[in-house]
Amino acid sequence: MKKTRKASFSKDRYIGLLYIAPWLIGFLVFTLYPIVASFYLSFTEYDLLSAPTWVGLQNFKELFKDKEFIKALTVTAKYVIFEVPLKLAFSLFIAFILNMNLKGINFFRTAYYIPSILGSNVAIAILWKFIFSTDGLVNQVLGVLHMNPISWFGQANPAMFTIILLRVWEFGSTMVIFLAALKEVPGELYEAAEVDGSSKLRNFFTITLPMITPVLFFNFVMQLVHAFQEFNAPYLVTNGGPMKGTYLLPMLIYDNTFKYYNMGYASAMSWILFIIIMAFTMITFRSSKYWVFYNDNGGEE
Amino acid sequence: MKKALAMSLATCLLATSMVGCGGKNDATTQKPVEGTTEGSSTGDKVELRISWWGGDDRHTATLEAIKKFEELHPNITVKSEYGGWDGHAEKINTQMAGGTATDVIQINYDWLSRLSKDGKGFYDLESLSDTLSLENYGDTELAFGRREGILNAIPVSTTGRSAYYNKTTFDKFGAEIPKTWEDLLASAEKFSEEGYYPFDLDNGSGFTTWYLATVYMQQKTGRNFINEDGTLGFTVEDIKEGLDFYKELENKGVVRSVEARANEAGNTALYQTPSWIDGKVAGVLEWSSSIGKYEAVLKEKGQELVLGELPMLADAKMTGWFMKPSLMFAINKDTKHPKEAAMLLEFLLNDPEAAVILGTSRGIPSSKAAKEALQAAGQLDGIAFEGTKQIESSNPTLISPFMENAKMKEIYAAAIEQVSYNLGTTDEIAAQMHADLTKQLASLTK
Repeated sequence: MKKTRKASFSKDRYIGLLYIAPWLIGFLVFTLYPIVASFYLSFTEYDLLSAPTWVGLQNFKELFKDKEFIKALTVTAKYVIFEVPLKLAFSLFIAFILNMNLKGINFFRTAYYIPSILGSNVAIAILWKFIFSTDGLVNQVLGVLHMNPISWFGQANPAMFTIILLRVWEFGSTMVIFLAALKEVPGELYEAAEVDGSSKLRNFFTITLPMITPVLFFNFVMQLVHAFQEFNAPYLVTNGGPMKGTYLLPMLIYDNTFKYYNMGYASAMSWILFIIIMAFTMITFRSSKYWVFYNDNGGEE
Repeated sequence: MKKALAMSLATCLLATSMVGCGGKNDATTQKPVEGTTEGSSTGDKVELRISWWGGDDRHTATLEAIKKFEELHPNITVKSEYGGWDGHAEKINTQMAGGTATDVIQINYDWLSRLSKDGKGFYDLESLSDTLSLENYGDTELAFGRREGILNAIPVSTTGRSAYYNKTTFDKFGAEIPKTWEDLLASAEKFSEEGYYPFDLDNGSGFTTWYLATVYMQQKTGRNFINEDGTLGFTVEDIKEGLDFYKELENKGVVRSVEARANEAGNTALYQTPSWIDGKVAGVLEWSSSIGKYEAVLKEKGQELVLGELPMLADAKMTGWFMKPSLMFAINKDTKHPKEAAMLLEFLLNDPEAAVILGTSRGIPSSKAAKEALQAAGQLDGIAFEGTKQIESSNPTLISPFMENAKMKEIYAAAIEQVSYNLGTTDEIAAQMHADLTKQLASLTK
C-alpha cells in the first residue's frame, strides 16, 4: 500500500516537473547560474578571457576605497530618492483621474499606457535628446516665455532630471495596478463619507489611500528594485555625464565588465548593489505592519 | 529512480550546452570538425559570420561586396553583424568570452594585446597563406598584427587624425582654412554669427581633445606622450601645458565647451548632430579612415569638406602626428570553416572587384592589389586618400597601443571635463592626470 502510493506520487511529480521544465531550465541557466557564478567571481580577478584567479576579499576591500564607486553610489541614491516617489505619485494621480466615469475613458486608459510600451528603447532616447537639446522643444518653449534656456545635458542636476522624467513618464504599469486597486475600494465607504459631509480631499487621504496601501506597498518595492538597477536611460541619453552626474552604479558595473575587463571587481559591485537592494526591501517589509492596511487583517485575527 | 536520474542528467547536459563555456572542450571537438571542413569546400553549404563597426558608407559598401562574394561562391552564405562604434568593443568582448564570436572579425589595434595575450587568441593567418595572399602587405604593416610572432590580424589600412574643415562655412564667413597652430587659435575671429564654431574636438569623450594636445606638446617638447616601453613620457608640466592649450582653444571660441557640446545632443556622435550637418561646427579632427561618414552627410546638404594642413610649430622637435593601423581583420580561432573564412577575407582585402566596391570605406587599403585596383578605377582621390597620404608622409609617430585603452581614455575625458567646467587649476588637474596615467600604464604593462 505504502509502496504504490509512493510510486504514484513520484510519477505525478515527474509530470509536474516536466510541465515546469521550460521555466525551470530558464531559471537554472539564466538566473541561478549567473547568480552563483557572479558570487564566485566577486572573489576573483577575471578578465573574461583567461581563467579567474582567487583573490579573496580584495575586491570588496578595494571597493570602499574607490572614489568612482562611492560617487556612483551617491548618484544612484539620489536617483532612487527622487525617481521612486515621483513615479508613484504621478501614476497614482493618473490612475485617480482615469478612475472617474468619463466618456471614452477606455480610450484614455489605453493611450496613457503607450509610453510604457515604448519604454526604454533607443528611439525614445533620441526623442529625449531632441526635446531637451540646446534648441530643443523645452528650451524653445522657455524662450517664448522669456526665460533663459536651461543647460539640460550640460549640468549634472538637469541631466539627472531628464533621466528621472523619462522613467516617470513610463508610469503605465504602476498606473494600471493602482487603477485596479482604486476600483476595489468599496463605494459604500464614499457614500457614507458623503453623508457625513466629508470633502473629496479628505476622502482621498482617509479612505482611498489607506485602502490601497497593500498595492502602494507592492508598487513601492517593485519600483525601488527597478530604480536601483536603472541602466538604459543614462546609458542611452547622457552616457553617465556630465562629470559623472548621471553615472549610476549599474553603468559602472557594465563599464568595469566590458570596457575595463574587471569582471571580478564588477561582480563584487553587483553583490554590494544586491545587498543594498535587499536591505531596503527588508526595511520596507518590516515597516509595512505600521502602514499597510489589509482588509482581512493580513490573514491574522 | 532511473528515470529521475536520466532526466536530471539530460537537464544538466542541456544546461551546460546552452551556457556554452566550451573553452576547454574545444580542443577535443576541434579535430572532427576540421575534418568536415575539407569536405565543405567541395560544395557543402557553409555559413560564415562576419562582424564590423562603422558608418553607413562602410555598411553599404561591405554588404554589397559580401553579396558579390556570395554570388561567386554559391555554397557559402555570409551573415553580417554590424553597427556603430559605440558599444561595439563591449559586444566583441562578450562574444569572445562566450565563444560566440563571428568567423571573421574586424578588430581595433588596441584590442589585440588583450584579446590575444599569448598570440593564440586568433587563428594563425600564416597557416592560411595558401588562400590568403599575404605578399600584398609589407613587413611593417604585418608587424602591427603580430603577437609573439604569430600573425593574428591583417591591418586593412593605416590612418591618423587630420584636421578637416567645412569649406562652405569657412567661405560663408570669408575665413581662411587654418594652416598653423596660430591660424587655428585665431580661426574663430571671423565666425561672427552666434552658434558657429570653426572646429570640434569631440571633447565630451575627451580622447580627440587630448590627442590634439598631445600632438602639440610632442612637437613642443620632442618627448613621446607614451614611451615605447609603456611608461609615461610627459611630465606634469607637459600635461599642464597641453591642457592650457585646450583651454585657450575653448576660450577663443574655436571649439565649444564640454557643456555646450553635451547640451546639444547628449552623447550623440558629432556627424549625427544638427550642428555638424547644418555646417555650424565647421571642422573636425578625425581618422582618415572614418572621415567618409562626416563627408557624406555634408554632401547631402551641398556642403564641401576639405582636408586642412597639419599644423606644425616653427621649431617643432618632432612631427608629433600619429599613425596607426586603422582597423584589422582577424579570423576566429574556433572557426569551423577556416578555409572559407580565409576566402572571404582574401576577397575583401585583395580582390580587385571588391576593392572597387569597398572603395575607401575602411581608409586607403594597405593591400597592394587593392590599391592598384582603386588606382585603375580612378578612386584614389578624395579626402580620405589625401588624409592618409598626408599622415604617411609626415614622418608620423606610431601610436602606442596603450593610448587608446578604455581606462586611459576615461582619464583624458575626466581631465578635459574638469578643465572645461573650471573645476580646478590646470596645475591641479595635470598633477592628478599624471598620477592616474602613470598608475594605469603600470597596470597595463605589468
